[in-house]
This record gives sequence, C-alpha cells and structure tokens, in this order.
Amino acid sequence: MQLNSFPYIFLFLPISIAGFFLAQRISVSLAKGWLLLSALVFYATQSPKYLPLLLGSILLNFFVSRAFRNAPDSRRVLLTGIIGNLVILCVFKYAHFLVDNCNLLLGTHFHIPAMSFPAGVSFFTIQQIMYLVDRSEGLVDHLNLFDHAIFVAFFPYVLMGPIVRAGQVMPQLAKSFAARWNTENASRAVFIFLIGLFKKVVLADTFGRWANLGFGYPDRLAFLDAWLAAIAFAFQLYFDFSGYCDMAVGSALLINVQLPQNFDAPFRAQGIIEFWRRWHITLTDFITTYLYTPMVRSFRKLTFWKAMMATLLAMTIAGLWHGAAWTYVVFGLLHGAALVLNNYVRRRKKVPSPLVSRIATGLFLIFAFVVFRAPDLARAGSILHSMVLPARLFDPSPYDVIDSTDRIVGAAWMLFGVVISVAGPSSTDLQTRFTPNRRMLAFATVTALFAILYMNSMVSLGFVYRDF
Amino acid sequence: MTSRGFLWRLLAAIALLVGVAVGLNVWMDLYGLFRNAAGRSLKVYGEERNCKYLFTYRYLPENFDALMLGSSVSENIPVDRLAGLRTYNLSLSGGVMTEAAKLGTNALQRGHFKVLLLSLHRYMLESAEEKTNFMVPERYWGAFGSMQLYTASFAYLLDRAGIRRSPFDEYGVQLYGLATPTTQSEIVRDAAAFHSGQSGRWSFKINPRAYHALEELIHAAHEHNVPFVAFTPPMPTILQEATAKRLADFDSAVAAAFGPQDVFIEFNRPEYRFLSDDFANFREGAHLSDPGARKLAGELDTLLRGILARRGAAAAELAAPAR
Repeated sequence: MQLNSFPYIFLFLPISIAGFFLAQRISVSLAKGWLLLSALVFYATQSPKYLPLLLGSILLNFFVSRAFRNAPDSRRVLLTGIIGNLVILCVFKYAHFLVDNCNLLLGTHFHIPAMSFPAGVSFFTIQQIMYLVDRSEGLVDHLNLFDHAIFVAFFPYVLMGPIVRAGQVMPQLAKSFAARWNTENASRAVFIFLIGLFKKVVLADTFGRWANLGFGYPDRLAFLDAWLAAIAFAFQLYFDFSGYCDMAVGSALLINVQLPQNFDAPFRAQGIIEFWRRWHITLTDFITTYLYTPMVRSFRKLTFWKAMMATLLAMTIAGLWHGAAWTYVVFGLLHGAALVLNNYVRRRKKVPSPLVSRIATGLFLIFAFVVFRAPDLARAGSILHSMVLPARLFDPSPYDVIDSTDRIVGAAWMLFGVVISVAGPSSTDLQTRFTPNRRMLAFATVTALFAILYMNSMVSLGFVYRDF
Repeated sequence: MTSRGFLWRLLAAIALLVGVAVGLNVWMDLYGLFRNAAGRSLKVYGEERNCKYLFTYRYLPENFDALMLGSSVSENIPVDRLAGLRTYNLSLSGGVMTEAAKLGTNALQRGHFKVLLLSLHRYMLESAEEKTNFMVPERYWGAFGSMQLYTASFAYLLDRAGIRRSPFDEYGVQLYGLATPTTQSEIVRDAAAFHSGQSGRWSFKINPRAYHALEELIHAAHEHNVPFVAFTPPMPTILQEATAKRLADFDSAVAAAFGPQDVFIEFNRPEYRFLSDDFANFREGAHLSDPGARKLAGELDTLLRGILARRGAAAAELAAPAR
C-alpha cells in the first residue's frame, strides 16, 4: 500500500484519521495507541517481514536514550547508539556492497544470501541517530516507549521522510492528541495531498516511463535519446519525491501535525549551494547539522580548504546514504566537488550572471542524476558519452514501444512539468497561498480528476526513494 | 467560502464528475463488459493487450466458438470462419507464451469454446517477459475510466468518423499491408542469411517460465474439455534449411508438452513445402504476407474440419452405448 494507491486514500487514511479522532474523545492513550497501531499496520503492508526490525530499532534507541539519564559519560552512550544504528544499516543495506567489494579487493569468496530491502530503514535509522544526538546535547527530553514508537513509525514519513527531529514533531503530536478535528487544516491537507498525488501519478510516472526506456538501453542511446532520458529522470525524481513529501505533509496535517517541506522549487537554483537549500531540505539539514558541523568543529583551526574537505566528505557520505553502490558514492562526490567550486567562486566574488548560473546548475544536475540513476558506473559512462560525444543524433528505437497517442499526451505532460518546475509556483507557495475559494476548488477538482484517472490506468511506477 | 464548504464541495464535485465519466464509459462499453455482449461487434481500439484481455471476460465467450492465440506471426491470419466456427484471433504483436496463456485461461474460464488454436512461433517461448502490466484482473476497473480507455475511445471516434481506421477487424485480425513481391524475396533471403548463422538472432532457446505457461494453457484446455490444436507457423524454406537442426530440436521439445488428445501440426515439414517455398507468402523471415496468411488459413480450415469430424465421430461412438 503506497501513498498513491486507492487502498491508502480511500480506506487506510480515512479509517486511521477517523479512528484517531474518535479514540481521542475517549482518551489520549487510546488515540496514541490507535495512531501507533495504524503506523505499524501501514508499515506491515509495505515490508511485513521487517516489522520486527522496525520494532527492534525502536527498542534499541529507546534504551540508548534512557541510558543518557544516568550516564556520566554521555559521549560513550551516544557512540554506542550510533554504532548500533550503523550496524543495522550495514547489515540490512550495505552488507552485499561491502562483501562484493571485499571479494573484489582481496580475492575472497564470501557469500551472503540475497535478501529484500527493509522499507524506510535509511530514514528511520538516521532520524533516530538525530534523536540520540539531540538527547546527548540535552535538546530533547527522553520519550517514553509509546511516544518514541509513534515518533519513529508515524505513517506519513516512516518510509521516505521528510526526515524530522523529535523536537520538531513531538510537541505538535502532543498538542494534536488534545486538539479536535480542524476543518481549516483538513481542507489545506486535502489540497496539498492532491497536488502531491498529481505530481506523482501524472508527472513523475510519465517522466519515469521515458526515463526507464532510455536507461534500459544505456549502450544504444543516440545523442537526443540520451538527453531525453537524462532530463526525464531528473524531473521524474523531483516530481516523484516531492509528490511523496506533499502527500506525507497532507496526511500528517489531517491530524494537525505540520511536517517540514522537503522541496522548494529546486530547479530554480542558481548554484549547487542554493540547490541543496531547496532539494531534500531535511536531508540537507541532517548533513549540515549532524555531519558537516561536527567535522568542522573537530578542526583546531578552521581554514577554507579544511571546511571544503569536510563538505566533500559529508556529501560523499550523503551519497552513500542513498544506496549501496559506487554510483551513489560518485554522485555524492560530484555534488561535494560542485559545492566546493561554488564556494570557491563565491569567495573570489566572481559569480556569473543569474541566467548562466541557472543553466550551469541545471546542466550539472542532469549529468549528476545520470550517475545516480544508471545501474553502474560503466553504463553511466556510456550515457554520458552519448550526451557529449554522440555517435548518432537520433535513434527512435528505445521509445518505439510507446503508442503514438501516448507520445503526444506524454510529451504534453512533460512540457507542462518542466515549465511549472522551472517557472511555476512550488508546493510551498501553493500551500501558503491556499484559501478556500472557487478558484482553488476548481484547481483541486481538476487535479483530483487527473490523479484518479492516472491511478486507475495502472501506469504507476514505484517511488524512486522507496529503495533508499 | 468556509473550509467546511470547500471540503464538501470538493468531494461532491469529484464524486459527480467521476460518476458522470463512469456512467458514460459504462454506456459506451468499448470492451463488452457491462451489458449483454452477445451479438455485438467490437473492434480492438487503442492498447491491444488491454483490449484483447478485457474481451476475454464477456465479449469472446458470448460471441465466438473458437480462439486462436499467438504472436504477431499469426496476427494477420484470417480466422473468422475456420471450419465453420466463429473464431477470434487473440494473437498479440510481440506476444509471448505467458501472455497467450493468460488470455487463453481467462477466456476458457468464462465460456464454452469448441476449439483452442495456438500458433507457436519460437519467439513466444524465447522469453517470459510480458510487454505490459495490463493483463491482470485489476484492469477490469480500468474499463470504468483510465488512460487506456480514453485512448481507445479516441481511436473509436476517429474510426467512426472515417478519419483513421482501426488496424484490426471484428475478428481480432490485424490488417497488415502487403510488401511488393519483387523486394519480398530479397527481404526473405536477407533474413535467412542473418538468422542462419550461430550469431543470428533466432536462438530457439526455450525459457522455462514460458514453457510452464504453455503447459498451464494446455492443462486449462484439458480441464475445460476444449480440443487443443497447436501449430508452428511456416517459415521460408531457405530459413528452415539454415536452421534445420535447431528447428527440429525446438519442435520436439515443444511436442513433449502435449498430451495424446492434443494436435500439433508442424508447418515446417516437407509436406507443407507448397507454403514455405513461395517467397510471396512471407513478409520477411517470420511474418506471413496477406496471401500467405490466407493460404495458411485455408490449410488450417481443412485440417480443423478433419480433426473436429474425427472427434465428433469418436464422441458419438463413446456416447452410443449410453443411449
């Protein structure tokens, strides 16, 4: 059950929200219990066999957090907690990557059985690392087991974020347990949810279909096909993930919890520094606060180049966080290098014009996303080669399977997607501007109709970030 | 407008517009699902797999006596009146065995057919990968309103207005154009030269999942007591000769899937040279030209009449003592 599925929208969400407000009338504990039950049921529909892993991770971090109470050396407790979380990540996400590279490097023949990927493991693990760090610094209070479990497993964000801090969300949840159904929030929630749904099922999946066809033939792409595939993937990723985040924000707002926005028109960025302030904002917050800042603080004397080294390292780790493959490491490295360059240019005060900055940023992003999407570095190289040093200009073969009507409809949606992401209002703008009036009603109705139509067309692809 | 008013109006507007759209789609009923389909004449519009799959629910069981499954190689065989039976051609462009088995079993579960034909080109067993995710029960809901339905509706309207005809007739037969005979022989020779070498694309490999799908289809036919007739479509003689060993191995591997009651016709045997010798019967190495498809249909008609007559006689013999 995904956020863009009929069972979630017409069954799970209404039942869990209605149940929450009904339970709340009886007691706060019952409402908490209902919310936790909903969260666990939701997780179980995604990754049933890894429900014990989620519960185990919650228990581990709960006990580590409790250990801060009486521990004379909070650093040791924190280190234990971080190592515990990293072990979970290594076992369930990076084991194959580590063993394969070990075998390659040392000529060994270690083998570990294939296993499926636990949904949301990267997200709920770093969210709890952030919680432990905040606990060690006394920024948040210890949560009881019930609250801790709700904080981690809350269904709108457990699978793919936004990555939230306990200090951000727990006070809101505490208020929410006492607050009544708020129609103003609900209408805003439905509105933002519909925008997210439209982004995912209409735009992201349309771009995704074209991207998948192109990336399915990385060695055979001609110049224009390679560019089409690369651009299609960049926009697929944006609409896919920002669509998910809008749906998550909308779902949480129904019970009066405002989650942070994760995207703010990133394709309008005039540099990589600005891009990361607009793209996956909650991850940027994690990288800056929990990776980069501690590294910088550890230097006795901070220089520009030391700070840049920390940037490069933090971005490489962020790249690896996305997935267990060298493509993600290189993706992180590329972004780290671009951030260094961007900082250097700013320092020298030789900033190019906004138009040039925007074009250069856009081109860099398209190239970097090719590395991100390609199955391996060799095939990423093939596509990049076709984009830069093409053997042929155009070869329609990868896109032959798309019906002619679908091509026209798809091209129209893609053009629309490119225009609104570059020049149109962002979800944040739309959410801020939202007032219940006829114009918004018409907009929401049309958005909903297209979304329902596409949902019933079985062309939906899985969320890209679900595998991270 | 209050927030409460906004929410109610939004829900009402969505419900109303979805209701109207669904009502219109049910009334048009392009796939013959929502009312009595007997006597209706429907064509394939839009996405072929989606359409033919949905036809297997009601339209085919209520209107046809026999079905033919296969790939694009058999898609232009005019099957409409094979052995006097109303026959529908369920062949798919690029169709593989897993897809054919889905169509066949779905139709067999819902109707009483007198014969099930399978055109078994080696391509169908080479891979088990389906070209779309459209052939699943959830597609039934798509008939109430989906992109595939609106693409089909658009194609239907163009067809009705005479602007763009459907490439299929009402028997599911794909109406290919015929290449000119002069270049045809060259195309066929080129194809033969290409496929004859070990590096040629025709591997004759059999995918285990595809083979399992064939077995399941045969089992479904037996379960529903429907005579099962399979045939390997003819290839140009020069191509047969170039791939003789691999072709023989393929045919014998496939034949092992059939039971004693099934019929398997190999149109690449010497007695069918009258089909395979003539370049004009082929579009290239695999697909039949329209005259070739017509000749094969004629041959199938004769064979099928004989098969059904023998079965009829055997059934009568079995039934006689009971009377």
